[in-house]
Amino acid sequence: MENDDAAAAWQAQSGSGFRMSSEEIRNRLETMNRKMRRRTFDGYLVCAFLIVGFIGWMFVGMNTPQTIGAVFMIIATSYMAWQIRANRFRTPSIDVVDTLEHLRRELARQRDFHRGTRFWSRMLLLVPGGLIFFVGFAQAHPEVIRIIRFEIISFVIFAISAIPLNAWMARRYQKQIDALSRLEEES
Amino acid sequence: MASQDALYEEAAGEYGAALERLAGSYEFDRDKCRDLLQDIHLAIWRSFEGFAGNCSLRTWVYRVAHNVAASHVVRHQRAGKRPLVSLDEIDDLSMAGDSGDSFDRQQSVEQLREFIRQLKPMERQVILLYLEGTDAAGIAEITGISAGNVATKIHRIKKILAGRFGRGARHGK
Repeated sequence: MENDDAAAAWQAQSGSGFRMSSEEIRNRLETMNRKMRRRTFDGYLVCAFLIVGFIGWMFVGMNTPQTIGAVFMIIATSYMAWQIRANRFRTPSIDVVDTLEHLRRELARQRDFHRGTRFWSRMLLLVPGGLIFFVGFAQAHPEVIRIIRFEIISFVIFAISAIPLNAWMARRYQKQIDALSRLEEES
Repeated sequence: MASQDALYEEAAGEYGAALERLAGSYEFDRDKCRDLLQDIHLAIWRSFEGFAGNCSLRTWVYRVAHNVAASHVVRHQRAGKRPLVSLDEIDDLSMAGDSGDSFDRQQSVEQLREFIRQLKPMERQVILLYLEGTDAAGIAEITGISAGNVATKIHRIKKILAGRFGRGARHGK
């Protein structure tokens, strides 16, 4: 096969004639946007549920540690909601030359959500807040101390397991960033 | 939006087949290839929102398509995958089915596709554009590399194609 033959053979490959109608494109984009919005909305929903729960709890009469813990948790959850908003997916730039750079920035932002200051600031607000709340809860209701102990242990296990889980997520994004860098170096 | 749709229609009509070949060169898996092709089409449609006509439609379409394909490679990196090579290194590699027996056009295209998948992204882009009949100036504009560099790469590509695929084709004739 000569060079021209190679090009001719290459171009002669029969395609499926794939193309998308404008309706299909809009539907697909809408589905993608809906999925993104849904994921963000689910995050907000969890935060809202926790905030409303702790505010409600404050009205049913709590001791001081419970109140301090609840305030901490409300602040922590609001902060988490703000982080989710800041971390939401951004539509790629229409500047085509920057598509890969956009991908790199997106990946870096996702990675940073799971590590460093953003992760630890979240943990530093959530964990002490939760523990103080449970201590106050135990003081107020010594009759259910066994249940509260179980809740505290579960909470601590949940908090501890969040560390390797987030580190794993951050590593996954880092791997993609490294692959992107390799790709650019190879180019 | 009408012009966005019209531009997409024009691009899909003109370069649809080339985009399918491009997707096939970046992704071996049939389903993932289909997904990649859809992503490319979506990205092209979307990109026309910012198309000011400062470059040709062809340049714009290929740039978007190659960027999406490169992003796809990053997202679907497979563990244990053999490293990508340059055109200078490719000669040292053995190619599956490069025996020259029972050689036909379909087989040669398959080999060509396999050969392209081993290449580093920029060189993959150059060879794909070359095979699509884009001239050196066009390739330089799309890839952003110098015309001199493109000419060197094309020279190398021609040599490889003649040496590697020419042999197989002659066996088959």
